[in-house]
Amino acid sequence: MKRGAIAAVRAFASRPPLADERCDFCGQPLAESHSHVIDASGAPRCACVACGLLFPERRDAQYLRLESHAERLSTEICSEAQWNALGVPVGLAWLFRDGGDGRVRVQYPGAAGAVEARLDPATTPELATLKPGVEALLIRDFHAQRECWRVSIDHCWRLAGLLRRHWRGFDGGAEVHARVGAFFKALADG
Amino acid sequence: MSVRAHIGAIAEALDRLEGVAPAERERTRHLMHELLEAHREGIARLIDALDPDVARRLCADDEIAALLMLHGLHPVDLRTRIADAVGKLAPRLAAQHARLEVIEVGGDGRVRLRVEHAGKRGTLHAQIEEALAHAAADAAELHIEEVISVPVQFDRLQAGARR
Repeated sequence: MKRGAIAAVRAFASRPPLADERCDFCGQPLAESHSHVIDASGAPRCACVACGLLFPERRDAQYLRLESHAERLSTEICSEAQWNALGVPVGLAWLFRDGGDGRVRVQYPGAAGAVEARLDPATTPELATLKPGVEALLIRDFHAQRECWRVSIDHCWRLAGLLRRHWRGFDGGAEVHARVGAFFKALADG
Repeated sequence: MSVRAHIGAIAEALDRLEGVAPAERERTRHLMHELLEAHREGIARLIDALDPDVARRLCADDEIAALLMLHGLHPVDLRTRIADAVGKLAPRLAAQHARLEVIEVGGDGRVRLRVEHAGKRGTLHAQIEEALAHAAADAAELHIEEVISVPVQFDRLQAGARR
């Protein structure tokens, strides 16, 4: 073993991996805004714009390109009582129907990554209209004001990635709050 | 093959990776990162479960020490290990009219030493390298500065002044 070998291996392996920021199909670095593709098992893949165009939006395909969209809904979609019934301890959650069994799932951020809970599907009727595995109801409860969004699920992945990268400590810290704020501002700006 | 030989082989493989496409490098980095982290987490738990004295005794085995250094888990920090090795080497160097001191142990693993000797360099560098080869195997680089002091002539000058 040559002098510096341990240090060289440590330096290489300790740099944070960028693997989740590369196209899953061609390996090119991904821009902040890129395409998303769902494979047959419902697992998400990131694709650069060029690779994303190769995949159809048809439901029966091996890979399905997600058409990214976000639509702001009335806050009445989720009343105070309904929000409280979700039992989400943080002011952010997204609900979607499982692409497999169609059951409603709710995810919210936590210190150890996204936390998932199953939900009674009758909670809000809007959920029944969500395309399974593709669309989500995104709710933010911020300073007692709710924002409700019907979004393509890639927005939730992006949000989950942002939370995973920037969440610090128990409540997430100031940086993650600023980034979540910017995320919702960008949704509103289209 | 020993732990250290394997680590040496990994470092060589990393050198050869310089020429490959960035995407491949990133994938390899990701894989290495997860692999080493998985081991580090597990080994850290093993070390935590041990009596600190036992952990330190285990490190008398250079192979175990190298493994723990790879994961940044050696129970004695680099600065202390270097200070100890330099202390142990001191009498041998003194017999050669040389003195070694640590200038800096950087957070990046770069180590700066200063050796003061009376003009006969001989194998001093090799002796220092050898003394630190195992104790500070995780140092990225050893930089040895040299100061030549000639106390004998100084003595003569003093003697001359008195005359």
